Amino acid sequence: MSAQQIDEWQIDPDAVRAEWLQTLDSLIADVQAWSVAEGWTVTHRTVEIIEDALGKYEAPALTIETPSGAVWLEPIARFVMGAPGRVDLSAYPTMFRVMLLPNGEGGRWRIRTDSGIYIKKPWNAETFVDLALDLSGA
Amino acid sequence: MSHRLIRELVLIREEFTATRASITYVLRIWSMRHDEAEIAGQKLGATQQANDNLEATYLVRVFARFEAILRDHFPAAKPNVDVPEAAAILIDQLGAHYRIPAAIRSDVHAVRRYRNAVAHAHPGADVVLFADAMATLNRYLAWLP
Repeated sequence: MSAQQIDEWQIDPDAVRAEWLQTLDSLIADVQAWSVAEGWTVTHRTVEIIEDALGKYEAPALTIETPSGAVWLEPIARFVMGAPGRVDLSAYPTMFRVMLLPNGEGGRWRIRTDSGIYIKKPWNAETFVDLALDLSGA
Repeated sequence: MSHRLIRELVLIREEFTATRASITYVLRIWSMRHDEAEIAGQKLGATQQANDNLEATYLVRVFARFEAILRDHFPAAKPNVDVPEAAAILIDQLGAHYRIPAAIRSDVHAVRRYRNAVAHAHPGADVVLFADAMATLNRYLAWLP
């Protein structure tokens, strides 16, 4: 996926949606593997997303049961300001969260807090486990 | 069902964070771009004031939605009882009905007191941050069927 901002009115919606869903599938697969490695239960589900440029579509999501509570991994939209997509990692039910924003470099994700601070850690198993426990334990 | 109720509050958070980001951006570019059509004629002081009051403004919004959810829910929980006028009684009666832990109810009352302080410009209540208010109200809603 290109990190360059795409004009959402001059796109091929089917192609962009397919690429976005591929990006999400890869993220979901990583998070599932990292969760299972911790012995956490993972439930697959879908969320309905409606975007002006892409229409209505179903996207994959996860519910992860950590020892300190449930965490949701849910895609929010492909078209957001400042990034080519957004996925929220949220604790349930508090909905404390961080945003995952693709940076377009080899499937990497940037981690942004609600305060607008970027967490300067790579998106990997260790970071995910720390975030999931911190969010669900808050 | 509580998932659906919680998502209603999440929608208000989306508005809050989008508005905060927009105001923060405008304040950052003000010195260079204050003649842009969308912001021409606006006072810098008023924009800063809006920024300062944003958390409290949206806390009032999110609590109003929470209270409306409880009012909608009450007749199903207690069909033969009038919906209480006072938010405090509403919170306690539904809390007792669904055996919501006292600590959660107490936290919700702290949010309610701060909401009242903001809405009526009546200082005295402890400040509650928007994110903490959301978390508190969601913990309560999670007990509703």
